[in-house]
Amino acid sequence: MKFTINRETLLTPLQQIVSVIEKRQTMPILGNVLLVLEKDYLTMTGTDLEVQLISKLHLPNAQSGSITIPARKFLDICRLLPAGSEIKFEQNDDKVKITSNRSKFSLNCLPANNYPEFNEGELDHQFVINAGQFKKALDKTTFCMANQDVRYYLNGMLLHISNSQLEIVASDGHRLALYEDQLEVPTGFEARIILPRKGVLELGKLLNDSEIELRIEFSSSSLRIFINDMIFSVKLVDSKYPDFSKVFQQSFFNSIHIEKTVLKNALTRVAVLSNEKFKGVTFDITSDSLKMSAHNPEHDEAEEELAIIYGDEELSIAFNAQYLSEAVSNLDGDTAFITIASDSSSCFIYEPNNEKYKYVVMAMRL
Amino acid sequence: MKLYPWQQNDWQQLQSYVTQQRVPQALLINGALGIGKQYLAEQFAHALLCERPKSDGLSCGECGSCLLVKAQTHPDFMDVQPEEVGKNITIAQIRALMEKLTLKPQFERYRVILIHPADALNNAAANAFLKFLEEPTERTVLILVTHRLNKLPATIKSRCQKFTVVMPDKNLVLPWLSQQTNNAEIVLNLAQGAPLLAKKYATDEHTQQRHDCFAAWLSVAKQQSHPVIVAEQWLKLPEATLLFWLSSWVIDLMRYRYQTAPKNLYHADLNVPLSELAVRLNPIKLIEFYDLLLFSRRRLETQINKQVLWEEILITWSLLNRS
Repeated sequence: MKFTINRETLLTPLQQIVSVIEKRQTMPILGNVLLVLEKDYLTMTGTDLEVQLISKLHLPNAQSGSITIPARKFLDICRLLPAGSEIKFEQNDDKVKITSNRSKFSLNCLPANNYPEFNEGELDHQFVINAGQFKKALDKTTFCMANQDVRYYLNGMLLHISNSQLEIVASDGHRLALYEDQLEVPTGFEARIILPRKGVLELGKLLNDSEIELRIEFSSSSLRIFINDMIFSVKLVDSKYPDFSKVFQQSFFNSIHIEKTVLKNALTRVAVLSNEKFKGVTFDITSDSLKMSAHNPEHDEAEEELAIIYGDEELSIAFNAQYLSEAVSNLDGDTAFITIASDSSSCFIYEPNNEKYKYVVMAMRL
Repeated sequence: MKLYPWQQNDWQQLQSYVTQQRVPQALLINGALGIGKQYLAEQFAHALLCERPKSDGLSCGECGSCLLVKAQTHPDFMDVQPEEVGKNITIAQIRALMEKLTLKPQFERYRVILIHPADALNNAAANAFLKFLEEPTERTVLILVTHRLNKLPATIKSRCQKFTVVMPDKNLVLPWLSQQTNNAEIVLNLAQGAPLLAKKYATDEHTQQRHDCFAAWLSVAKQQSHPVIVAEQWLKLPEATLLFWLSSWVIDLMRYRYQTAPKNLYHADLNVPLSELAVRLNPIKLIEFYDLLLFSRRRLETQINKQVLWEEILITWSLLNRS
């Protein structure tokens, strides 16, 4: 394998690939990046066996071949060369020579056929979605995913497609985020898959260009997204997502209308004196006012009263202040609607005139 | 990929699981030490991963999957063993494994987890493992290998399909072993029929060590060496092997008393000095000494001071010969 490439062309895709590679791997070869040059295209691949990122560059007049080289060292070399330099790359058996102007580097390599690449075959289901739309769906839900929960299916995100209906759900068992939208092109199938947490976070970093159309393919075991010249793949979580539909099938009190920032700021203030671990804040709601109060084991107390529009029977309920304020801050508008379930088990947070996403926060017993 | 000549029957049984599409989710391969269980398990694992298995079911060694296995980079093959020889498999290792297993397998075929020796799972690790052992995720096969089935907790055993590898027939082993060594019959007796153990015993170094130890043991019996000094020399040797030699010598001594044919002995090559000793010793005392050896075998797994252990054995032995 032998080619010459400009530093600027190589650097960005290489940085993205290295960000996928774990710093500490179980197998030495996972610290390497796979380079394959054939038919005038240079393909670079990095994986940690959970997610995989492939980047394709057009590179005419090069000698084809394939090899894996240490990713971080390769990146550091390219990064530290002066801007605009031409990098010459030449493979000799298990060594790779990199030269640019007066700099010369020789790197030890591992053979390409030892690299555990994801399968390239066709996947069962396909659909197309706008990158901006998909990014928004991820942004609105990601923060609700569990982290290192023993219920491992919660350390991920549910992607539910039912013909032209898209539903994305994340939950850690105490709160839930739900995003619903229409796909422009009907898919003609129904499928539910769970993306693992790391995959969702990595994917969020890659969706910067909101104009492009993403082609998404998935099977029962992996998902693949084509983003411009990149292909992002992720293994799916091997489980069923718990049934959360019951939380919607109950009766509710009238919804409470409240200004978003006022609520958020008041919550933050009151939460200062709440129990540090559980962050419990009590809400005493009358037909036109909301009294928040908190106390902690040191017997400090905080109280704040807000004006609201409600007009239903009085009630008292407690929530985790952090969960509530995170949900509220993710609303786009100025007004938040909060609807409390009639058995006081949970509340819904959403905004008027926007049915796309809503949050559920479970109540606390104080 | 090839099997040892005595493994054909076992392989056919394993293969029938595949042809009937009834590969057990958890397979517990057990049997004596040194008969190639581990190798059999590996071959079975490789065959399950191989894209184009050969007609006898063995892996082809050439497909992409086999190449990854060879390079030890196969993403769907996990080999769990103690981090250091003789240590336990820890709960941290099992937790790391479980985390990987929450995702789907990377390729279309099976995902195989090989755990050996399974008796090295410590209590916490074994318990952490139970839930998964009962309901493994999609297309996942667990293979546990052990030569000490009794050391496994009942909760693990009851969740696995047991596959017992029996001691191979001598007639199958001897032709193979003769290619490896000149004194095949002696070492095979010493290894009680376990071919791979016999092969290990057949190395010059091993034979030399055995003869040296026997000489030292004999000189303690003749009161020519001091037990404490011999005990110190023995500290450098592998304890389990040494203890096995000691007990096999004692067993041979007892057999000599009852005029057993030489082919039934462990140490046919040491028959002259052993038969001389056998006449002199008090059989009841000898059996008491044997008891001590058996007890010591159990003590080896504790934090016992090895120097003191060998001193106790050798002093008892020395006294036995004086009376």
